Amino acid sequence: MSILSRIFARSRKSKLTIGILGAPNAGKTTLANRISNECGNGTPLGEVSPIPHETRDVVALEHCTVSDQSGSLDLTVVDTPGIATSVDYREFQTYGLSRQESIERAKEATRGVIKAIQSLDRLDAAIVVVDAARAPFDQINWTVLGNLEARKIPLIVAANKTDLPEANTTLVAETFQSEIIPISAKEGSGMNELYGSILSIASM
Amino acid sequence: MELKIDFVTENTTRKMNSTQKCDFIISKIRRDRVVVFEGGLAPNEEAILIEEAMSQIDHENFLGYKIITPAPIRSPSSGLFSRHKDIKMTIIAPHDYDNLSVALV
Repeated sequence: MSILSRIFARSRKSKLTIGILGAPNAGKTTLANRISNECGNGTPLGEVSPIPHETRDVVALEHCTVSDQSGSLDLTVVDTPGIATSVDYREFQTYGLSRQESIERAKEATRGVIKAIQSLDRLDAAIVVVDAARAPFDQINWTVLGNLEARKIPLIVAANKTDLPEANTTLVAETFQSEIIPISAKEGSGMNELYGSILSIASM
Repeated sequence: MELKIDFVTENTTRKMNSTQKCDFIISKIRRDRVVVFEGGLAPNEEAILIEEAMSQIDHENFLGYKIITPAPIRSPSSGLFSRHKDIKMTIIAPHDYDNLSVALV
């Protein structure tokens, strides 16, 4: 181990709570499940669905160990509901839910959004998941990034869904004017780079 | 659809705290008006606005809002010694304004 590595290893945090944030259907829970699975946790953190606002509560995975040659990091991964400025129950009806089911889901979704916003206060770091297959100009992404920056919470922008042919990671990078990690949470590509970024944050 | 826009100058927004701004915005969009906030909303104010809107959604008459904060534009200097000023604004519209887009030229 080089002298520099030893210095970094000594200064790196041993524990980190990292939140997974973003707009609905960006793939946050798919990513959380991927990390959970790769940490050896047998059960997924949450259900994944094409219907928006499937995740309506904050769920945490504790004691996920991420390692490199400098040592290991005890990670708590917090999966959060999608953040939105509106919730229209009629959208859920287009997925075949009854009116009453849709209204119930919408009520839970609004509570979930509030929980996601409130979870910002207990994070050491964040992964902002952006759907690279959609135009990334959603104001929600800016609101999330702005709030993390204002709270001085280090963040990683993960451009997800690179398995889809329409994914445009260059556009995501240009839009946010920052380094991004292209990933496919569904297929697992880019995960080593993502873990590397998490370890780098822990060394900051 | 008739478009009603309230342009709120920075002189007015400066006198409001975050809660007052959010209450003001929600009261306007509940009445189907578009609000243009000169000076824009800070990120923490956008978060407060989301929380407040979510707590007020009733699934019948109020379903939330749409929001755009365009990148600040630099005003031309008007004289030799005058400074450029970055003009920032936030536009908030009722949820059912499907095609809200802004071009600043």
